[in-house]
Amino acid sequence: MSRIVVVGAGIAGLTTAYLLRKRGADVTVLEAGARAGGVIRSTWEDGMLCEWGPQAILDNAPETQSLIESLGLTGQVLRSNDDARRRFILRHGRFHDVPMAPQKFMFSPLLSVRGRLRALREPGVPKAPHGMVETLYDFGVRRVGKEAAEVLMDAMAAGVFAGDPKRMELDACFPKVREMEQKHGGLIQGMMAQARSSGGKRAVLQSFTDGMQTLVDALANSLGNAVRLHAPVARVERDGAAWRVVTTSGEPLPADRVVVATPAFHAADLLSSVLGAAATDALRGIPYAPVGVVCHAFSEADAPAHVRELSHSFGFLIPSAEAEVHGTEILGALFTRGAFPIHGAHGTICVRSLVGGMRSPQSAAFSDEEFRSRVTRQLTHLLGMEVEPQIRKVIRWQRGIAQYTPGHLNRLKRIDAALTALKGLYVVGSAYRGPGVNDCIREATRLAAGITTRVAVP
Amino acid sequence: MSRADRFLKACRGEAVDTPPVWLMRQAGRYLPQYMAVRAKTDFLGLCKTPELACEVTVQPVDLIGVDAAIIFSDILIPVEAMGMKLVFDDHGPSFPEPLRHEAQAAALVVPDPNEKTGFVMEALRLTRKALNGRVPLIGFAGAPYTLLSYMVEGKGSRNFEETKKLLYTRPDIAHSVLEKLAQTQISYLKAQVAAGAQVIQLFDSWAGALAPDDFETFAAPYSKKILDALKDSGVPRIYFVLDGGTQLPAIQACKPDVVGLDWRTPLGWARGVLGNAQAVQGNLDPCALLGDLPTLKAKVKRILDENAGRPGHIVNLGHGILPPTPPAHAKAFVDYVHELGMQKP
Repeated sequence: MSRIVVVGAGIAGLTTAYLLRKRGADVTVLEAGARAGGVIRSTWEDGMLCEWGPQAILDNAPETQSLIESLGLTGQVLRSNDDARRRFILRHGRFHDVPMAPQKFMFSPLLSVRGRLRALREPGVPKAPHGMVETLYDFGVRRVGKEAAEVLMDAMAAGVFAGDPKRMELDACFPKVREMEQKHGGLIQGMMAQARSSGGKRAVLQSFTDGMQTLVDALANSLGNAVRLHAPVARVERDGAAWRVVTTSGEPLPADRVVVATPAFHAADLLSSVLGAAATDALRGIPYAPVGVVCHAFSEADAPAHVRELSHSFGFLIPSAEAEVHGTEILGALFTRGAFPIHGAHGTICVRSLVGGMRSPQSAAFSDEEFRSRVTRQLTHLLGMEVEPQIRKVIRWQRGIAQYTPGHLNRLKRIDAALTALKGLYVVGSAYRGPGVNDCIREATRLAAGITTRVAVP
Repeated sequence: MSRADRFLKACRGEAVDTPPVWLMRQAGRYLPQYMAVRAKTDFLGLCKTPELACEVTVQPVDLIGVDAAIIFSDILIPVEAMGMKLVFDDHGPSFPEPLRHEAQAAALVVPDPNEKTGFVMEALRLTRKALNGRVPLIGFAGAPYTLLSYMVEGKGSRNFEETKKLLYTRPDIAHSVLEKLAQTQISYLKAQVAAGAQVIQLFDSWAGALAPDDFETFAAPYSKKILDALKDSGVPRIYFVLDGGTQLPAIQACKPDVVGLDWRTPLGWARGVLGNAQAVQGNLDPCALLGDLPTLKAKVKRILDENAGRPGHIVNLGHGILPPTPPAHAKAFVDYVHELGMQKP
């Protein structure tokens, strides 16, 4: 039986280990920290379920759905209600519904008349030449015009990556958006084709009754003793045709296969001696955005009518230009109970603000005290509240979300080339081919399926 | 937020400053002040004298500091009104002529609650006045299956042989009595709400003795009927099944606002099964009040930790407070819940 060591017990590492073990491999997961689950963590704080990391998953990823089923979690799944389909963008001091269809877009005051007319000319814009490296921002300006790019693309960048659209490689960040252009001739045609092919069935947000942590807890419980906590790894070394994973305490673990499921900068440290400079530099070249998560709650009775109305939604995003006007580091905020009413006490509005990102990296340097008071003050102002909401939880990720900056796909090529030459060594996680939970599970599933769990007897 | 709001808010899953706490059978023999009132009459006399029932109902609100009062009465009071002879002596309540024949079942009536048990309604009215809004007032009734067991056994029982013999030989009789009990309790509880009860609790003390399929046949449908009938009254409805941990899905299907948990059911686990949509109540082992205070405090902390900050938690014992409990320990329990419950992360 093949001995496999997985480094890192986040969602990607846990899923890989779980699937390999189901196929009979001898798997050990080494986790540096005190708990399994990585950034996925959910805690109830005084009547509000606070998600430390991802808020929810979409139900349109088959790998995730089959994992949930395999773990026996189906009974604990929550599906978001229809309110969660509504999202807002703050512009000119007002919260505008994000128009989800071209005909609605035409009448939405989110963009100026001129901006809308320009955006609606999108189907006539020629395709980019194949293989062109383009930022999300440049892509947006080219296809939908500057105004729509600075509002819609910017908000999308903030919402998914906490990223800066001028420093995001389109094909790496949103391969499906590029596909719409290349295959259907444009975003509008692509969206219409997608709506046709899905038969009108739209993806629904999912979580669990006790939040996203249920998923990683179930994986870790199933793996049991195979997950070793407080076991930071110093390096991965060659051991003949096999591998040796050495912990910081000096313990060597022999392995036929090693899966490094840590953030990219950790992977670079662990693998520097075996990967070579090009691939190690490529791993180090994947930057991470600092992200703060601040959970607030307040009584519905204390909220003005427009905030009560607004709270019946998934949340809102603030494009950079608008954020600058308001002097806020808040990228956007989610209404915890908008999607999942049982994730907070009845009669309360629970808001989870995402703060900082590539747009305002300075916010990561504020003292905790200053950070808390700034965010609370800014949220109070943005919502037009008279009463300051109470903080339920503050989480500050100094290196939170991997950024797929221009050159990302090239970096992946260099990393893959080095790994392929080595055989038996793999990397997986949110740093590479998608930042979301569904992406990590999909990549882990592919990886696990591709790893031979038997070793040829010599 | 005031003490007056906590309990009702927690029942509805709303935000609270600290989980509220009360104790099942909190107006009871562990309190010397209760014994002093009780010395004036017998148990049934106490139930049927509204002024005295009111006095002992209010006692723990002042003496122990609980966040809710529960009207002093007994679950067998409406059964007496249905036509069963009821006796209370040193061994507790009993029916000297237990229900064993079809004719006895047929003779049971569905009483008018105000006419036959008007003293309960009067006690509720007096108590609401006496409480003057300090804490909410709970009304209660026994669940049909529990009452049927009492009626058939004549008294408490270890194995409920007679009741189960009836279920397994003449289920038709059992169902006919359960139906009359459900109708009786619906009008009895509606009358309590009209008289001032702000929350109602349905006690199913013996349904935990049933096999799961029997629970679903003989207990749950009748409890659900009562809970459904009270839904429009607008008051939160608590359903407590002693030893009901393995019946949680069936209990949840009865759709109470609050699920009462006994101490054998891990609260965090129950939350997982129930899925956080309903509030829960519980669940300290009543014997924990007989131990030392540091242990008691640790157990209170454990219960709060098991709930882990989810909304809708009412702290209570997992069953009635025991007569040998030192009143100081009952008060310490309440104080610990408030002290630990107010500590925010």
